[in-house]
Amino acid sequence: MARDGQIRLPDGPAPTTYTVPNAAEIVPKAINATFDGTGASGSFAPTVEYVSDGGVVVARVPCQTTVAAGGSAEVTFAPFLRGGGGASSTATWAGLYIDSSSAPAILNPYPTLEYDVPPFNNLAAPCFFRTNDETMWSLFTTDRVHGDVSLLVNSQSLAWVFYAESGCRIVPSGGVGWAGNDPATVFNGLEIFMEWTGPDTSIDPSNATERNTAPQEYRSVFDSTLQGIESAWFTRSSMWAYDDSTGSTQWTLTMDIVNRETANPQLQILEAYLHVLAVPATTGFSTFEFPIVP
Amino acid sequence: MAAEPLIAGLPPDCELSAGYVIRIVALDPTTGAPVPGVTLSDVSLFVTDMHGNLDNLTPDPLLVPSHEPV
Repeated sequence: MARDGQIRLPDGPAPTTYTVPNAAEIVPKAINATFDGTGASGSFAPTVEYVSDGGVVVARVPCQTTVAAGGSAEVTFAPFLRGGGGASSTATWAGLYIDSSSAPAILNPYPTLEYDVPPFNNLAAPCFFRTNDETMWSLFTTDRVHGDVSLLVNSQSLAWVFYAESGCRIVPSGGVGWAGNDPATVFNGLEIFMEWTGPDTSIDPSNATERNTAPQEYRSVFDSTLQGIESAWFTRSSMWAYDDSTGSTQWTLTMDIVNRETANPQLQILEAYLHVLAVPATTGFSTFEFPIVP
Repeated sequence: MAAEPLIAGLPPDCELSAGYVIRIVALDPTTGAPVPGVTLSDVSLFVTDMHGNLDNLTPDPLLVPSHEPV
């Protein structure tokens, strides 16, 4: 039976380690330690590493705030915490939010002409575009009729790790079988098909050969079913990518939402979002949380 | 000098099996090499023991074993 508890490690010089004993399995939920750098030979980043039983580092999580030589820090490591410390900490990520306008988009049944109208078919106001780094991101559309939305990413001579997620709220817009969107009525067979186009997520950042491979197309599919509901959120959080380019190369990321049904009625996208986070690969990206974009 | 309070992330839902090591280390932010001369104190790991068989685990004080269902 799983139980939560605390393991204390003895004081002493860094590094200190804890080895998971035989027949045990643990999930770390929080790690706290005080790093005393009074005698340190230089500045340092407090770091937690997970090392496999074969001696391979499987995760390295440095605190994004460096402690100066002679300084000390009490550091808490936990999922969904953003690296940093006091007000003087500097953001080392570049985040982007795109939120749909209030005007709903209509998804006609596949394969009509408007089969892939996306939520971001009007990138001018009132589609909301927010970022903390305008030098990193810009927007353009490749096809306003079919509504592909593309992000223009300026790699700024750095290698970046990208993570993206999308979501949309769908409601049937009436028609055959939907009985005025009666929530008591159960419907099966309507599927939402959401896809990304972007760099290849299979690239291993630790593999020098792979990471120098030019980004390739990657498509992610989301299928689900609406059942007796007025509206539903569909979210997708699956876009890991890595860009090792050091020039001014740019890539695009697109999002389509498709009503795959051929017989059922239109759907409306009431609201949608596309969030992208980029972290310099050298910082050791460790959490899946999206910071709040100012 | 008072220790500066800092926070950092951890990979969520990462199950570590027998033989895996959690290593707490001070790294040079430029080279990634360990920085000598740093000492650690008050190191605590708060974990979920998936099989409940860790004998060096200080139980969560909010859990009362005698009240667990038999």
